Amino acid sequence: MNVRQSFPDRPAPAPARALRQSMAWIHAWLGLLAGWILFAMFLTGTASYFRPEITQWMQPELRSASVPAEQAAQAAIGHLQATTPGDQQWFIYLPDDRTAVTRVFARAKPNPEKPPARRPEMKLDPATGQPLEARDTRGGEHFYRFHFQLQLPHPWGRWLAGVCAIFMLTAIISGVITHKRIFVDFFTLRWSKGQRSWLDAHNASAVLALPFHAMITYTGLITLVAMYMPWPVKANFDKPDAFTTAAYGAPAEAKASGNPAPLLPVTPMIEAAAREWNGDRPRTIVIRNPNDAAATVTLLRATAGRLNARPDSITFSGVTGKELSRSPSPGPAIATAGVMLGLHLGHFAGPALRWVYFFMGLTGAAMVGTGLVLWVVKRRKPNAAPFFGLKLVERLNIGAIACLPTGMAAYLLANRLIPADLPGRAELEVKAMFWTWFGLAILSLLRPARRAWIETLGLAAIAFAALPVVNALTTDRGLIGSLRAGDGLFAGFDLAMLAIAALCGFAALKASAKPKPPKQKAAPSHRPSASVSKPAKVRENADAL
Amino acid sequence: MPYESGLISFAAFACLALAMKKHRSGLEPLVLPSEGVLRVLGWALLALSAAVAVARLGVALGVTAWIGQMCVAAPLLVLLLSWRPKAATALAGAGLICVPFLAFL
Repeated sequence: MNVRQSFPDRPAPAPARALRQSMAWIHAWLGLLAGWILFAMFLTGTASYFRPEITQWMQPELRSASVPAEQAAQAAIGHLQATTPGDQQWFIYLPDDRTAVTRVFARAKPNPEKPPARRPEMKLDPATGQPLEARDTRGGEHFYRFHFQLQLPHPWGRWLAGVCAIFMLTAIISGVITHKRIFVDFFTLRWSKGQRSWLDAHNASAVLALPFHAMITYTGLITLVAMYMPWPVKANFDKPDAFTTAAYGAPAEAKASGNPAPLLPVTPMIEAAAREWNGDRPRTIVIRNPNDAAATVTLLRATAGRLNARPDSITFSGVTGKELSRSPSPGPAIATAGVMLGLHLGHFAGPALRWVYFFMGLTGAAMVGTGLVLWVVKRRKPNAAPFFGLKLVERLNIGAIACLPTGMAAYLLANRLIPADLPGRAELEVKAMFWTWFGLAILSLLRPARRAWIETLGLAAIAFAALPVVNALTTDRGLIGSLRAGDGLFAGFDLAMLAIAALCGFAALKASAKPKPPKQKAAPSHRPSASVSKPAKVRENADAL
Repeated sequence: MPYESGLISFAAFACLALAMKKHRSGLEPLVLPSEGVLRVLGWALLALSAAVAVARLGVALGVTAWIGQMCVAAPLLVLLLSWRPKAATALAGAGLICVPFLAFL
């Protein structure tokens, strides 16, 4: 072995120990390299479990009204018939209990001489079909997109996210192999003991939610697997369309006949589909060639309440109302892929399970964050100046862990502070997040590392605590009013922001506590038996990371 | 709210933790059952929390909800156990008592 040749005095480690050490090396370095991006992916991904709710909060002008799918669909079609009856395709995204508006997107017929300008998506009142005016914002969609595209040009963001996810998966597996005291230390968390506390916190957040971490990392990779590994599809199908047809059924791509014919009402089609789907309603309606003899109406089933995130669909003739085709019942591979996507997105989860997802996401961010801090704490020598790499990692840790939350708060604050009718305000909100995040990270370089931790975390607490205040001052939907009106979404949002502010404040407080002297018996402990663990064992366990 | 499964698994993990020597101190004046009893009780409650989730939500969603709620219950228990072990134990018991009432909500 090489180790033996270069250190002739050191005996070769036993095979199990050697494996554990090499795994520890992989764990520490892959985890570190991807850690900063993974932390941001975990945090924004966790926020994305409330994507529609964030969007609703960011458009306080709109109030949700629950309207049956049939009425919303008919109202939207009424609007499209009145404005652009001769289009090639209409997409109608119906509201549900989490969205306030019907969204429609109409694609004009192709015109070879003058390609039509791409029309923006429109928001309609679900009850009346009238266009709604609300401030321009990317809403929760921004966190969701950033979570896997990282604000980089396509396809680089997705590739980088994929590489980080692979590192994460490797770190999970190597971490489990390295961690030899999984069951002995299963419930162990000791506070205020320096490196040992960070190791405990890293172990607890990783081990106790391990099923979630493994699931979310693996399903995240699988979601984009056709992009990361396109070759199986390329080898077996001439065109990507051929694969789509084989996997998900033939798309109803009938050409327009040119003969006008009136479009039937969609309500009977929705009712017919609901009978097939155990009462489920459609989430999306696609109408091709409306007001033509070849018109088709495709209904895509809502996926709430089912693990498989790939919606079934039924296509009706828009002129006779007859069912033309339906999506084939998926084979095992497609069903598995759909369930994996569903598990990752969590759209199936009702409010109760959504909060479970949210807290599991936070344990993921905690696992990555404590791992990053542990890397520094473990390598810091008490009486020596920190070397360059250590300083670099610590500064990047501050920039990622302490400054990103402030950036996210700035995105939400910008939504309230930028005038509602300013052109290009949606981009300004996004810029507010990144300027705050990176600007703060650069500014924090001016302060000593410990002060930088305290001050950036304190600033995050202030920024989140400011959100309910700014919301109350700039809208008529402040916390007290929402509580009184029973507006669960706005009240819940404000309370969640206050809770996050408290968490950031607690972290700042903990960071400002004077570090205790590293003597073994110095720190008082609630549970004496916990501190009487064998130092050699702890040492060995700590070395592994 | 389908949180019964999470409350039961919180109690289950509390039993399993208190079945370990190093988590048994600092709980006076509470008198704990023996380690063996707590270990059996812990595993039994964990099985019960799975059964409750499956009965409530069906196999596919039930198993998902069960694992998810365990992944939240266990870190919460460990946080609380490290801070206020007595409160953690009391909360585990109180949670169990709430389960039958939650089942009707």
